Amino acid sequence: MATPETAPAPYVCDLPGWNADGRTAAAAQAAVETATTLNAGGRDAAKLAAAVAFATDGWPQESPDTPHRVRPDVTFYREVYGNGKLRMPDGAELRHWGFEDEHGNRGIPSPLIRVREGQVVHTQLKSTKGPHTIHHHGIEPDAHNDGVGHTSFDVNTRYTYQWRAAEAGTYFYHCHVNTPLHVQMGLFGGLIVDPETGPGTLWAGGPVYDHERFWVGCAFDPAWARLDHHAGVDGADVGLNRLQPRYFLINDKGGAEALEDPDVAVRAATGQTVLMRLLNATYHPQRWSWDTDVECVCSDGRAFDEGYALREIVMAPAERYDLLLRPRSPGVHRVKVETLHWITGRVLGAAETLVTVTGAPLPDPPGPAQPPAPPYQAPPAPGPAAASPPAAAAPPAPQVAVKGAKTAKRKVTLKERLKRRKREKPPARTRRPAAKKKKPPAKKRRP
Amino acid sequence: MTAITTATDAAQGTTRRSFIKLSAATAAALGTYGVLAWAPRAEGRDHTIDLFITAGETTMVDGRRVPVRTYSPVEDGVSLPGPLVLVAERDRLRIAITNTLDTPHGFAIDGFADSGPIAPGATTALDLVAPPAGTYLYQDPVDAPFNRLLGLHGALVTMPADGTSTPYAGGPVFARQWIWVIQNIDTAWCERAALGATTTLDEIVPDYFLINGRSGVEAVHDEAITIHGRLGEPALVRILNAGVATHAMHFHGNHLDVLCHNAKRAPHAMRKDTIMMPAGFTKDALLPFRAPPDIWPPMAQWGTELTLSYPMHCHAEMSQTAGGGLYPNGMLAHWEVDR
Repeated sequence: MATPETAPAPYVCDLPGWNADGRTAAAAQAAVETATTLNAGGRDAAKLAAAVAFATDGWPQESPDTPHRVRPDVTFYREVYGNGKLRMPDGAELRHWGFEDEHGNRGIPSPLIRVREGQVVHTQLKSTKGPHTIHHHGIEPDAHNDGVGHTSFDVNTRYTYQWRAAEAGTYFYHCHVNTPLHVQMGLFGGLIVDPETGPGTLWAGGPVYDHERFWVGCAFDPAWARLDHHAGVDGADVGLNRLQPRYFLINDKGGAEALEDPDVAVRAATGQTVLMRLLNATYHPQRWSWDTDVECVCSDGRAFDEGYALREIVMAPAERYDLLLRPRSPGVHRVKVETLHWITGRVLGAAETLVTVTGAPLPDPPGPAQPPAPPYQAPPAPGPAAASPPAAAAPPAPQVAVKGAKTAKRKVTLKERLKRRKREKPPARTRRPAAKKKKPPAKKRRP
Repeated sequence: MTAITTATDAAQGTTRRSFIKLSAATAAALGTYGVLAWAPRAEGRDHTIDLFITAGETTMVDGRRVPVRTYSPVEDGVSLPGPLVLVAERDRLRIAITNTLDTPHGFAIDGFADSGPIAPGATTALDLVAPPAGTYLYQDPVDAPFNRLLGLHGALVTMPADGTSTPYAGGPVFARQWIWVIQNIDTAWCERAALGATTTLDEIVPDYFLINGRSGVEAVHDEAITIHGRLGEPALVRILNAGVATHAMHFHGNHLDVLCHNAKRAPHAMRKDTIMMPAGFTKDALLPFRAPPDIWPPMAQWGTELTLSYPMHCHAEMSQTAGGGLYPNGMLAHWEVDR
């Protein structure tokens, strides 16, 4: 009763933006040859060849020019390395890949890219060990600068991605070549767009914060480190549909280390605000949970009209959520991230860290407490919603310490933070009313 | 009063996708998956829909053939996913389901209809009023979710009674709408299940990841899957997860307003670039067709080299594979700005 199928002609990419450049035919020919030898298990040679040709059709351009290249406001350099080693909680060494910056900073996640709204950004990629790209996830440029091989090109040597940061929030960047393998191997890093005033305010006119963490929920399967750069694109079954992680980390730390590490754990005082930027960097869903109410205010770089309280949130791969903790009494709060199997929902593993709060307890905030909205796919969060503290007291200067932000640490003055608000609708429960709108000086740009 | 016709698949020249077209009225059409044509009308209509529970094979992107069971509009064919049922609030439906197989199966729309088990060879008719405006997964309630995973699923979409192109009365207006039924195929499991083996979720290791029955190179060349439009003309994307895995639909180029979860308003208004799709869920999201905000220099300074063609792919990257490799021949689609 099968529906009749006819074999398609050899695949020739006709997608918009595709620059054939003579490589399509060669790739298709090679694919047919490979596919013929791999045509086992009931696969169809012509169809397999078409699929292989599509899998390889981003291959590669050496050093393409950046269209309409301008002088940037800020430049980041990211060179691919393939010999990273990271000590796991059980003492084993995890081989990984990553992006290294011009100062030699490496790690999991790769060094942070941190920019401000309105800045024209250049991300200079230097590929090694085969073609790569950088896709700035959540950043929305034209297809040339989007870092997707089959809608533009893979980069064999160098390319400068040009984009302009439009909206403050939490993003990330990653390689988009043979993505299941390359991202799992570590080719990803955090990306933060600050408002024009810089770190210390989540978005223009939005919540201000005293402490900040970019917590990346990681889960690694060391077996994948044995795979080659282009494993599977020739049609071989290399198991990229089966990720069975063994190590569960927050950034690069797991086990007891994640509880103590000063770049992961937080020490704050009562009355302060802790901003937690969360990213799920694995391919299974993750459940983050707290033993106290936190306020969810933003996701995927887009602020909510109104925040809501929760104690638990399930995040799909690549989602980001920004949450605020505003402790009013001293104590130690436990934060946990569990990686859940994408089909069974079973907990595969977990990592935990601590938020240690010192200082004197504060009186309950004024105003009626709002009942918390039930978090999506989670039991209703008990307890009253976090409400605004009095607007009068100015908080101490923020201590912004984002893991991987070695080159981006800076103190921000209160004046800067209060500079301007952009959104028409006031965001929920900001610490203080935003200052009067003030037009910033026009940026100097060259066409 | 059901007329059946066959859509020709432009990309493949095959008759792979079938659809039903109601003869009752031009306005009350059932269409292909993909862009949905909808003509507003003021009054409820009666529809009669015949579905056959059938078994057969479907073909993956690399030519591998997989046994499936589906709701088919014809007695001797398969349709993965089952035909789209597109109705309006106040419409009355009579859905007659014939089980052509030798095991019991059924037909259910969560909370609105459930045939219970239909014996081999038997036909059961369900009479119901169209559920409230929204996107619904219909599926086999017998041995759920495994018969759904084996292919017994499809989409039912109810348009609001006021006849507007909105997902719900008073909702945002869209210019066009697409429907994507996403699905996992575990070829080895399908072969066992087709023979009637019992199973648990632990046994499922999907190796193909489909949108409307297609993936990778075939999906991006399928006009019924590719979303297109001009800037400023929003598209409504209705996504139904008929599989058993949690997916993460990541749109490049634009954030989407997530409007509805399981045909109800989303509990929190969010603008997302990555949309979580738990198994069995439906979500409606508005792709605004805004000028991609981070383009530099401004679009006016570009010429023909400006390309506004973007992928949508699942970020549970295991789903980007076919047969354990072949990236990106998995759960992938494109959306494109017409200019």
